[in-house]
Amino acid sequence: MPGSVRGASAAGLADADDTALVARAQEGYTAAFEELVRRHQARAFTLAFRLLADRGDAQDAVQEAFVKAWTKLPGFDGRAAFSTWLHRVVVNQCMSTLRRRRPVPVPDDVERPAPVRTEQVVEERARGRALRRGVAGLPDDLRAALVLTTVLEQGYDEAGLLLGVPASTVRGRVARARRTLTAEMEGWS
Amino acid sequence: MTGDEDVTAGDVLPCGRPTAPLLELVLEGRVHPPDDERDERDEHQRTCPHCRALVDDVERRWSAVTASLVEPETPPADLVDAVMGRVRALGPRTGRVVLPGDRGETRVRGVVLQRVAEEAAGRVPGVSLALVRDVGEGTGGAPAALVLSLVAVHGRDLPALAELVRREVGAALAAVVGVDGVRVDVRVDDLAVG
Repeated sequence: MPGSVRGASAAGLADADDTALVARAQEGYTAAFEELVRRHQARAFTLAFRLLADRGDAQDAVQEAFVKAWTKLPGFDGRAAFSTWLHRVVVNQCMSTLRRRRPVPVPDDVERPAPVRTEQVVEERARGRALRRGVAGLPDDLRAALVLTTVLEQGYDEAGLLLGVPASTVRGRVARARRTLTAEMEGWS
Repeated sequence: MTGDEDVTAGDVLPCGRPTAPLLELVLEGRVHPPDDERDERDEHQRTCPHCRALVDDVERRWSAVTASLVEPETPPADLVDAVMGRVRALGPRTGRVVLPGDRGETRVRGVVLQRVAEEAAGRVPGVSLALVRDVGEGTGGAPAALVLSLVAVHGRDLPALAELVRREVGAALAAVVGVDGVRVDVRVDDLAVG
């Protein structure tokens, strides 16, 4: 409906930057929040999927995180980027999912990977899948440390704050995760 | 790509150095470019081609892991709808207003602002129905904004109607609750015909 109020308003939202959308959403505009959800869903879902290694759990966690983000949005002071703040909400939600489901189940679509040999995996894409399976098969605490430091590019201090452990523990867990995965890549060229 | 020597496989590198300590340095993120002061390798490890090959090999494998992790997943197609369904079901946020006073503060819940605004908007000629969608809370409890949905009577000049509603609601909030400068956003959601 070109020229209509509805069309103009939708186009305006799509053009607005995150800061403007957050301000509108803080005032109560659900449409502005919807645009934020649309923009950030892929990264948030990827983050949750990497942390939880289960698509269904990731979907539930992201949904819950976005709803929490909406209710907490009036308290968001804008000192960090919206994406940073949102990712913190997603990580917290995922960590609470992980705590609830202890002891750790083997992810539903993932068998604990055997060391991956070159002859089994030739294509880059297959390797990517194998690597993600390897990461999915890591113990939760190692996977969380690895995902926060790689996917979110967080430093050990920042990741430690989110995980509730000292930075030195994060460093140790990342090293153990890397050691495990490097061993699984043995034979790759 | 094939036939490369697997430099991480053996216990000892061709230069005679054991593999494990250098591998640990790499895995713990203690290896940086030689001119970076965080680099914890010794002089031999920095310059020896075999040691450097080991570092390069692990880093290369590692960059594949990082790349595989950051590769975006496709979110479920109904994620946005599912989230927004729940958000809208929550209804307006319960914003509140804090009115400072000499001998104590007065708090007014968002629902009170909502009633005042709906009643004032509903009395404006040309408004068939008025509903507050949201009460935004400003910093420190100052009122920030109301989002008001209207069903207008067909045939009205809608921008003028919205302006009138804004003025009346603002005046009512000032008179009843004692707050000035509340932003009133008006959405005309439907028309009442006949």
